[in-house]
Amino acid sequence: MVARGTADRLDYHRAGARLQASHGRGVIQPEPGSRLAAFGSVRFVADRVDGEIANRKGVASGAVRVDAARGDVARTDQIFYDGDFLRSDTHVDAAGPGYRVEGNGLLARTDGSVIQLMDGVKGKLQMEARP
Amino acid sequence: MTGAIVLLAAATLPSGPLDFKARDMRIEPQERRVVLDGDVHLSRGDLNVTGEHAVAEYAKEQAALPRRPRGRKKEASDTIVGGQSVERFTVSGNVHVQSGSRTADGEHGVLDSEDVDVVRPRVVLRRSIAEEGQPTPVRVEADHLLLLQARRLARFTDDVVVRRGDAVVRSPRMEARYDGEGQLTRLELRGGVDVRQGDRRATGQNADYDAKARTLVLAGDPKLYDQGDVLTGDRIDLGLDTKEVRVERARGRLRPEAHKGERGAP
Repeated sequence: MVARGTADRLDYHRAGARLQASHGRGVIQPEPGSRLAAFGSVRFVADRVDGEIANRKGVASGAVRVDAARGDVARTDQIFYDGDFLRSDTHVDAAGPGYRVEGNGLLARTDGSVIQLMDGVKGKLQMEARP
Repeated sequence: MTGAIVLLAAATLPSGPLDFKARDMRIEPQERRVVLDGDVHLSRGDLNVTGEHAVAEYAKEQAALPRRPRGRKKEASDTIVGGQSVERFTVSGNVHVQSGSRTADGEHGVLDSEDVDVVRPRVVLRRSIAEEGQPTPVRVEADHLLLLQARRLARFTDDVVVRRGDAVVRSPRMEARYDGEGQLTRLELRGGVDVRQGDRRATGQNADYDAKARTLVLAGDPKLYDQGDVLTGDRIDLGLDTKEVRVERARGRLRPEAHKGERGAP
């Protein structure tokens, strides 16, 4: 997986590879054949991003939005990254091909194998139309 | 489980997306499914289904994403009609299905875009009109129920047991038919029928129950056994409320002494 990004302002501390970005934007290009590849490239934006690259930890906050090339869009106020997982304890709004859902928390594996919305979810799922 | 129910066979599933609520939702893209857990509630038009757990399976082939005309802004609905749609929903754990005033309960249910499939259903078939006084519910238990909504048909199979008042009817398979208003019109039992009502017992290969007339018509070597009386014929009509019996081309053995002391007996 390769991630690239830009920001209006970036503070980078070499020790621990810590960074603080304001109005950060990034794009993740999944490895072909990986589970995440089903979503295509994943773009994200947030008002603020704090991360420790060496420890594979970070938090994005303020109007966090994730867009997948497949058509999935998710919005929340804050999301934590911890190695293999992404976690949010705030309201999450997501929509994609055939679904729209909102929940009060999110837990997702960064390999894209499982995305779980929690603590009360509601939404719509498209049923297949019969000819 | 004891659920009083009535079928939803009359109405076809309304078109459009299916609304859901649950405690948690797990999206498993690789398995092409979505899992809902905890107080699951699905609704579509006047159809409501509740249960503890649901799995939405996506169609294998993705429908082509309709192209948005140039110049038209992307609308919220564009995401919901996109390239993936749910082929069927399997609901389990205290499943309750309701369509308007008609309901059905079961251990397990499957919904696709038209039909509803319920395992171990317990159903009460009601006819709310054209019945004097309080309608007598027809309770049905079976191992399997398939609701063919477009055909206004409920197909019960495997160990079908129908109870109406003091009458108990058993058969391997039965179809319940409805009219346009969702009123039960007819039950068709096939493959060997056994009827018991108080002291009398009747058997036949087939039986049809007319919900309006409240009569059960046995055919296919029908026989009636009633306190030593044995009647057979081409067809036996049983009035479930009146207890009257009509036998066409009757043959039989009657034992009047067995009926001494009955109301109306000499």
